[in-house]
Amino acid sequence: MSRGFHTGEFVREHARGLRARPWRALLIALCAALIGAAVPLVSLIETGGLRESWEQQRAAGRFVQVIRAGTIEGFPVTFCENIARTEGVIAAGAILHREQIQLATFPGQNRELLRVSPGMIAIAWPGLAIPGSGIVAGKDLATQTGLVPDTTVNLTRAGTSETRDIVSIAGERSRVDGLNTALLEPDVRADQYTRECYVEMQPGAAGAVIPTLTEAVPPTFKATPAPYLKKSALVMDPEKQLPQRASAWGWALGAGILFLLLGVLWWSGRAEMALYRAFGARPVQITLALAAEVIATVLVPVAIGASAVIAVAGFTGSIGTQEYLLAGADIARLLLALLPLPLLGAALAHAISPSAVFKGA
Amino acid sequence: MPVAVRDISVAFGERRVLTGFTAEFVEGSMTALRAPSGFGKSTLLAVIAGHQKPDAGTVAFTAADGTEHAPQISWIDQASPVFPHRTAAHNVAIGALSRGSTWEEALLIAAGHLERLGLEEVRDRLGKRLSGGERQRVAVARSMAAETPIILADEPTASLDAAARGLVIGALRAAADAGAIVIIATHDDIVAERADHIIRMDRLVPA
Ligand SMILES: Nc1ncnc2c1ncn2[C@@H]1O[C@H](COP(=O)(O)OP(=O)(O)O)[C@@H](O)[C@H]1O
Ligand SMILES: [Mg+2]
Repeated sequence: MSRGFHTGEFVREHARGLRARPWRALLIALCAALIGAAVPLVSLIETGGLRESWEQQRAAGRFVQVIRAGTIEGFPVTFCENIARTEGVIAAGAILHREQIQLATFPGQNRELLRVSPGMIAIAWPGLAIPGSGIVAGKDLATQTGLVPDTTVNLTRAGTSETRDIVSIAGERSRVDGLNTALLEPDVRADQYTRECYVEMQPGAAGAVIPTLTEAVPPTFKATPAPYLKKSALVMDPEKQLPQRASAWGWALGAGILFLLLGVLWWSGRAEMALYRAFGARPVQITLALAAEVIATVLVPVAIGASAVIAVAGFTGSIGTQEYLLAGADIARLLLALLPLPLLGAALAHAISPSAVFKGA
Repeated sequence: MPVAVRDISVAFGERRVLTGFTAEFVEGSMTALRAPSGFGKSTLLAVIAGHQKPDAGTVAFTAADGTEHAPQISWIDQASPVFPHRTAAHNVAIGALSRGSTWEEALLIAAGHLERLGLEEVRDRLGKRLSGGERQRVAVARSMAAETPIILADEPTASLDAAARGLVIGALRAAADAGAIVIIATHDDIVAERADHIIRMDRLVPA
C-alpha cells in the first residue's frame, strides 16, 4: 500500500470537510458573489454618471473649441468645414459675415443677419436639422417677431428689399452667444474666409484631436486653439476621469475583503490543517485543496455575480460598449487579483507544523 | 525498519531528563516505557517523533536496504485531537485515506477499526460531540487505520475505564503483531503485561 494521501483523494477530502460545515462555504460564496456583482455594478453606475454629465456638458457647449487664425485675412472656410471630417470631431463651422437688416413687419428695428458656414448651425444648435439653404431664426428673435417656419419674410438690407424663406426656428437657446436674437443664413460658397473656426469634439476626444488640428493648421495661419467656454478647460479631457474614477479601485477592495475573509477562515481552521499535515498531507496537497476551494467558493461565485450584473444591465439596455469594456476590465482585474489566494493557503500550509497539534510538541 | 536511539541526552536547564539513553526498537514489537511521572517518558517519545531536539545523540530509522529515511509516525496521547466537524467514522477513515486508500476503501477500513475499539454506536457522531474517552479511542482507531510503521503512544490508557483500556491495548497489540513498532509510555501494569519489552526509565543508571 502506498504511503501518503493520493492528491486527488486529498482534494476530495477537503471538499468533504467543507460540506461538513456548509454555512462557511456558503458564506464565502455569498460574499464572493456579492463582490463579483458589486464591482461591475459600481463601475457601471459611476461611468454611466460620468457619461451623462459629459453629455450634459457637451449639450452646453463645453467641448466646443475655437481655432483663431493669427493673421488678418484668416483662413479659408473650407479648411474649417473639413475639420468636421476629422475623427473625434462632431461639427465644425464659422461665422463669415455680420450685417444689420430690418424686417418688414418690424420696421425701424435693426436685427442681425449672420452668414455662416453650414456646420455652424450644428455648433449653435446641436441636433437642429435644416433643409436646404434657408434662414434659421434664433429663439428669442422668433418669439419677439412671431416668425414661424416654412414662411417667407421681407427684409431690407442695405436699403434694398428682399423676400427670403424661413426654414427653421431654433427651439433651444444657442450655445454660441449672440445668436438667439439673430437670423442665420448658411453660405456654401467655398471662397470665403474666416478668422474663427468653432469645432465641437466628442467628449474624451479633445486630448487626441487638438494636437491633430494644430498640426493641420497651415503655419501661415498661426492658429491657436482655445476652449470656447472658459470653464470647458476643466472638462476637456474626460477620458482621464475614467481611470481616475473611484470605482476603478473596486476590484482591489473586493479582492482585499476576500483575502481577509479567507485568511481569517483558514487561520481559524489551522488546527485541522495541522492534523492533516500530521497524517502526511504535504503542503502542496493542502495548497491544491485550497485552490480547489477558491475556485468553487470564490472564483465561480464572483464570475456568476459579475455576469448577472452584466446580463441584467445588457438586458435593460443601459450600458454602452465602453461601459462593457470598463466593467469587463474591472472583473478581469478582480479575478486576476484573486488568483494568488491559494498562495496565501500555501504560506499557511508551510507555516503550520504537523506536530503543532500534539501536546508533546 | 528498526528505530535505533543512541546516546540521547536532554536537559531542561539544570534538570537532566535523559542522559545517554540508548535503545533499539524493532518491527513487530511493543515496548513499554515504564516509570512514574517525571522520568522522561514523554520527552523520549517526543525525541523519537522529532518534536523535541535532543542535546546529544541520534535517532536513526534504517530500512532493510540500509538507507535511512524518516518514516510515518503516529502519535497518540490523551489530548489527541479529532476533526471536530466530522463524524467518528470519517475521522477514522481519514487515517486510512492517509495511506493512499480511496474514500470507499477508507470507509470499509474505518468500520473494522471502529468495531475493534467499541465505537460502532458513536460512528455517526461528530468529533466535537464525543466524550474524552471516545475521542481518544477514535484517535487510536485513526492511527490504526493509518497503518503507520511506527506508533508512539503517551499514556494512551490513562483516562479510560477498564473496558476501553482493554480495547486500546488490544488495538496497539494487534498493530505490533501486524509488524509495527509500538512504543508506549505508561505506568499502567496491564499495558506492561501485554508488551514484548519493558524499559524501566526510573532504573536507568546515568552513564
Ligand atoms: N519543555 C520542558 N521544559 C522544561 N521542563 C520540561 C519540559 N518537558 C518536560 N520537562 C521536565 O522534564 C521532566 C520529564 O518530563 P516528561 O518527559 O514529561 O516525563 P514523564 O512523561 O515520564 O512524566 C519533568 O520534570 C518535566 O517537568
Ligand atoms: Mg508524560
